[in-house]
Amino acid sequence: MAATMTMNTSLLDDDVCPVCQTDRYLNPQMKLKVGPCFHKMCENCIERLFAHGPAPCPTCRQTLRKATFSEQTFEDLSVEKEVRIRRQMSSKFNKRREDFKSLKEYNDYLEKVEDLTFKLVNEIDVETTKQEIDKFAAENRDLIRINADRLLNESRMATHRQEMLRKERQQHREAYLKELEAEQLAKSEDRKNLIQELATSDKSAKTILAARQAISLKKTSMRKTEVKLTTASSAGSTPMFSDSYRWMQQNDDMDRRQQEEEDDQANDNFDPVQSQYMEVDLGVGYVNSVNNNKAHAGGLVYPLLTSSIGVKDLYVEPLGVGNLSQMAKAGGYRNAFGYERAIEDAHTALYLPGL
Amino acid sequence: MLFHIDDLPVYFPYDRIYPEQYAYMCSLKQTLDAQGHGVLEMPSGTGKTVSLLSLIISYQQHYPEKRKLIYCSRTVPEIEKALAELKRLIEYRKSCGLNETILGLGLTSRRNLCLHPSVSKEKKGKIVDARCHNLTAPWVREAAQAGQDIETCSFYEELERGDVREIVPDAIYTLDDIKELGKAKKTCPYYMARRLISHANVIIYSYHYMLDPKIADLISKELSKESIVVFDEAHNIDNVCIDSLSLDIMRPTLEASSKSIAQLSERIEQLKQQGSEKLKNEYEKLVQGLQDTLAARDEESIMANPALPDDLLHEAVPGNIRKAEHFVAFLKRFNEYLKTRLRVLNVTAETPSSFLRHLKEITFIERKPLQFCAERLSLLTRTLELNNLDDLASLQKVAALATLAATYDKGFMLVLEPYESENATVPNPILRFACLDASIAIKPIFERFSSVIITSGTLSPLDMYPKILDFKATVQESYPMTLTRNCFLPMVITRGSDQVAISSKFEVRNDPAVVRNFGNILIEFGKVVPDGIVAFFPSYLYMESIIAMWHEMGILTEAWKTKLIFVETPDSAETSIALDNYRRACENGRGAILLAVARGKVSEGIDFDHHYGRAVVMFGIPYQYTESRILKARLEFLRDEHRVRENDFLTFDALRHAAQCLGRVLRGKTDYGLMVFADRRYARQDKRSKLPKWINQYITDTSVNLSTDMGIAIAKKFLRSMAQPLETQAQLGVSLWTLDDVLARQKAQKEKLERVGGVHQQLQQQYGATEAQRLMQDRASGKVYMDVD
Repeated sequence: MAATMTMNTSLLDDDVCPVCQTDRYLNPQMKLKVGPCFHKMCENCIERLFAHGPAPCPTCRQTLRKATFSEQTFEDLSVEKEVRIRRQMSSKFNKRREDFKSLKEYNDYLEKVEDLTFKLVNEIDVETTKQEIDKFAAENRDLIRINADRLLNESRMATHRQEMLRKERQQHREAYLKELEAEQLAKSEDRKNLIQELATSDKSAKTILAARQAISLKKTSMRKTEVKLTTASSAGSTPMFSDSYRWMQQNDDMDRRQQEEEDDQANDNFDPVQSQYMEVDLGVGYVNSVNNNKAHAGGLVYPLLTSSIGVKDLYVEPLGVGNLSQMAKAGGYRNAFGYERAIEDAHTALYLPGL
Repeated sequence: MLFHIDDLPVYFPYDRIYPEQYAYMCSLKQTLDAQGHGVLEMPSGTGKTVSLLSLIISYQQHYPEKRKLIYCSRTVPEIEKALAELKRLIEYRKSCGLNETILGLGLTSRRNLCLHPSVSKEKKGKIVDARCHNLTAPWVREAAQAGQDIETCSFYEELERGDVREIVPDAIYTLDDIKELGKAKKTCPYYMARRLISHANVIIYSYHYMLDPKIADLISKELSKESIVVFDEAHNIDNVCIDSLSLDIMRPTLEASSKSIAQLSERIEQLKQQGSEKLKNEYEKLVQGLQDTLAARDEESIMANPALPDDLLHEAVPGNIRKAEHFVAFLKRFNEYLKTRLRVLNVTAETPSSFLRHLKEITFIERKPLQFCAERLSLLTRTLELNNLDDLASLQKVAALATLAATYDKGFMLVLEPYESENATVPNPILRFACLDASIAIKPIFERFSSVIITSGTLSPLDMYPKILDFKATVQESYPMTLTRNCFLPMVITRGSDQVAISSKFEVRNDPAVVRNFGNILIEFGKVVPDGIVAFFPSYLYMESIIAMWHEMGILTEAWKTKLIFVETPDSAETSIALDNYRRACENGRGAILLAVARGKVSEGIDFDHHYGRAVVMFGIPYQYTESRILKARLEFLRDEHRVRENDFLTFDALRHAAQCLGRVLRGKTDYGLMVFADRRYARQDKRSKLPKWINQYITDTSVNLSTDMGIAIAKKFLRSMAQPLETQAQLGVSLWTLDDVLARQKAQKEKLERVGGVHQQLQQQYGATEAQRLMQDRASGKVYMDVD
């Protein structure tokens, strides 16, 4: 510990080459490098001293080569040294949690490694420590190799994942920008059309504007349902449920549009409850309401009628019933459950915010 | 007055009640009944605090569960106001003959409560905390008891001697009251208040005690699940959440923490030489597991600390930081690594996971020990019995960064900005660890407490808050203001008298024509509006440049003829002097203009009631600085995670601040004032729809697209009619209810219900009384009934 402390203080006045005493002021391009003995030197000095092969370090007389010098990453040289030692250590001591029976053993192992590193860093019993390390390495050679491979694999995976994430984010961003642009375009197009219409049509300006307003309202609500749709599908947890949810949403979306159309036709205050109790006209109106989730909510059981009047192709079977029943049975569901859930789903639609 | 909501008797300490207060209480009760969360917006100055308190106290006392009320507010003056209101309410309840024991108190920092003769003289909160710690730490007290000559705090010692419950009788204590009590009993008011928290029925304190994980862990972890948590003035709550989990690291921080690390290792060395058992004991404990060392942590009541999730607490500290010297070396490596990061001279932005990977590559630090960093450090300081904790502040910050970065992957971002501003040449690097997700800090609160109420004068659009804070609101309501006379007049000025459109849009904001027209608004309104005018700008920078231009154009001289001019600055002392003099000028009839900044101090906490503010002018739309990298990252996050469009969020944020500024003018129904929106963009529907309902309802089509001269004409007429005396009698029954009005209304409702009794009964069975009542109201008023989840 004491050794590191003194090293610390001597190295605080950095940015002066201890060999030629050049500092940043004299040579702004000066680059300090560190050798294996952790003594600093500027690039010029290294060039000069080691031009003719290995030479002793001017501070500690250890024999060094030019190639062994590397750039300093850390301000504090003791940390630089520690990290180099750790690099060597980590190539040998790479056991993982899985290699131990209990967490406690793993923690004890971690502590032992830390102890050894600490001894090396502070130069306490270096010889015995090195022997110990070598012994460990020899004993665990296979495991070390396996773990090194694993590590490599993992880091590859991580890089890959990161790259994917980055790409995904970029895609998100692009999609969003595109969406914005499209919206802008549609808006300006709309405006152009409106002016065109106002200029050419012989209808009164009021009716044209009213019609426009209705259309734009419809568009915004459509956009909202689309947004919700994507949220819903991304939020689904189990595939089974998210599936049925999407199915429900789609239907919901459809009847929303339908209702809006009806709204446009009626051109007066629309009452969403009205459709619930719509007359059971077995013609067109019926087909409409079969597709309508709220029909179930209204307590009218249409499925019984479907086969007799042949509108089945428009009627969407609830998941887990009919042709899907084999699959559902495999999952342990009974037929009744499918219907039950369909009805529940239909009720759930009511819980969505108002139209 | 006493009235019933459903079966709940509500004691309201005034003889008259505003209709919106009544409605507010009904919604509040619904929320509490459903044990859900609520978002409630009520106009400023309509007695929000008193309605909240009187309903919740009535609720608390009526039902056997006695759910505790935790009322969080923003500033100390607001806390004091709420405490005073509470005291009045309890006195009223006593005078009604109720015999109940209610303990209510406020909590604030040591700086405001300390009684120690020399410590209380300190100005800075941090220093007071540290000095208090030096006098009251367990080892200091032990040493003193063992007969060593060490200074301790007599007030704290006194508290230790007795039982808090015996010293403090049940009552309501304002901050001054508790200080007085401390003086009388010679005990420490701060610790007295802290220990009373677990006994109190009502606690009033600042947001931070709840939201900041570092403080909440100390203060709020013992509160029970049934407690009712209220966040008042909560329009900024998302920013508070984000700030509580964000950190800025600069070079001085790292230098200071380097020093602290050296100190730690010195101290360890010292202890070792003395052959102390302490380190050994600590080590032994750590081998057993972290959980046991934090003995005080109770299983049930742990508040999930965002910096250290629950499940971690059950794990042992990793072996490689168990020994004190290993941990110090570990901190040193991490600190040095951060230093190398700060040396980089280009802007980088990365996710915590890529930061961790790079860290591992360079320094071989793994995620696990990093996660335990903050906890291990606090343990070490306790073991080493370190005093002067304020010296360690920087190191704590570094440790907090380590823990947060290793714990959270999503919703955070590390941004390194080497230069302070774009054209700076001298590097001053800042490493910002930014939280992007406001829901992380507040999540444990929503999960832990069954009812959390978020309320303010400006929460529109209401559905934004559940989205960005990620919770489900049972009740979401905004109340309009019922008024006998239209006592405030919002108007949108879109162009000057010369018909040049005005806007603070970046491209035109420094255009002389725009600046001149802004100036003309100020001059003209200065001429017609009596007493005080407050004008808000989007930013300090913009305000400075405009004032400089006004000076050149001679606009300031012109405005000076009618009013004195005061300016808010970033310095709070300067601002308070300006405010004082502004008030004086308003009082003595000279009249004054205060130029202030949206998001500044003036816009948040200070009321300009009556003659202090007869008009508020908002120059431009106070958008955030959109080039900020952190804001960009946050917008991206909101878009991807919560499906909030960038523009929607920016507009929402700008308009809540604009509404907050303009709301300053009106602090009650007898008050009156003008609200001037001076920007072309306010005329657009997408902007206006984001204003609170109570402001929006008074924006008429005629006042939405005005030029300056038209605006002045309307303002003149408005001020003339408003200056007439207002009789209380006229308000009765309309915007002010007596008990009779409340009863009459309840009776009318009941009759209506009886008429459709069958349906109602059915509903009542299904949903419970209040809900059914509301549904019936909706039906009656022609609203379409869709079920709410």
